[in-house]
Amino acid sequence: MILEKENRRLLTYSRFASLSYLNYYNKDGIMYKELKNALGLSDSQIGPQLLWLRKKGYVKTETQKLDNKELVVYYITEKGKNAYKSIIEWIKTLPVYENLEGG
Amino acid sequence: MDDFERCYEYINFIGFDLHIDNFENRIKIQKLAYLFANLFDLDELLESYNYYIRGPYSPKLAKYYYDNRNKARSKKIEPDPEVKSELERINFLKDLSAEDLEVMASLLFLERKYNLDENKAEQKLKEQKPYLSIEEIWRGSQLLKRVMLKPQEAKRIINKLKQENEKWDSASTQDSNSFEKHR
Repeated sequence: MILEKENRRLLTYSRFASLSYLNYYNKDGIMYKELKNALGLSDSQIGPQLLWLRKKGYVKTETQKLDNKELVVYYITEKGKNAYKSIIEWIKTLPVYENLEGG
Repeated sequence: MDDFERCYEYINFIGFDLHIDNFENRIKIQKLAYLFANLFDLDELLESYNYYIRGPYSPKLAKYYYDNRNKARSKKIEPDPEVKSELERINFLKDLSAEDLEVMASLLFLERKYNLDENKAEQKLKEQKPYLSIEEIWRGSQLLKRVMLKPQEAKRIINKLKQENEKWDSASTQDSNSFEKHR
């Protein structure tokens, strides 16, 4: 099985991990600070990646109120869900060599 | 009635607004349901919780509230008398902020799942969510105690402390008497 060219660009730590979390929280979405903290990245590291995901249509944002504070919440889109599913299916087809201790 | 429905009825009973159109309410429902699942032994619901980046969260519960979003809940179902008195005791939960509920539910998850004591759970939560202040975590911890310490349990602890105190009192009385004798 070969991964579609477009989806290959999602295989970076920040893009793929963001998509995984967003897929898990699905319609409930994730706050920017939660995602940043979970991935252990700085604003300058995660910001451009989330922007890329949004421009490509994998994620969308909404401004929400929480305890009277306005904040940006990220959600996965249908395109994002399909791409994530394709990558997971592709990962399952990869060979795994379990004897990592050599020999 | 399954655990999800039962929990939803309990949340409804304390007077919490179950509308899921806003983000804040959905977070609160997730955390309230986790606290209720622990308090009322709703095992099926409890087992559906995981802990990733937002403290305890159940995708199954999320599916339940999206699937039942149009179900009318104008009428409150009367729970069993013991459950009812517990719900009345903790109905202040409906007025807490999403952040308070998140801290409470997260601390409880860490204590129960990883068998951590109160201090260790607070430390771990601070590591996981550095944006929470010490005061916010402390406040959540106090609120959690208020919720989880059932009246019977509180009575048991007070009695135990009383017994221990009695021993100390009698020892100090003996001590004073013996001091008086030898004066």
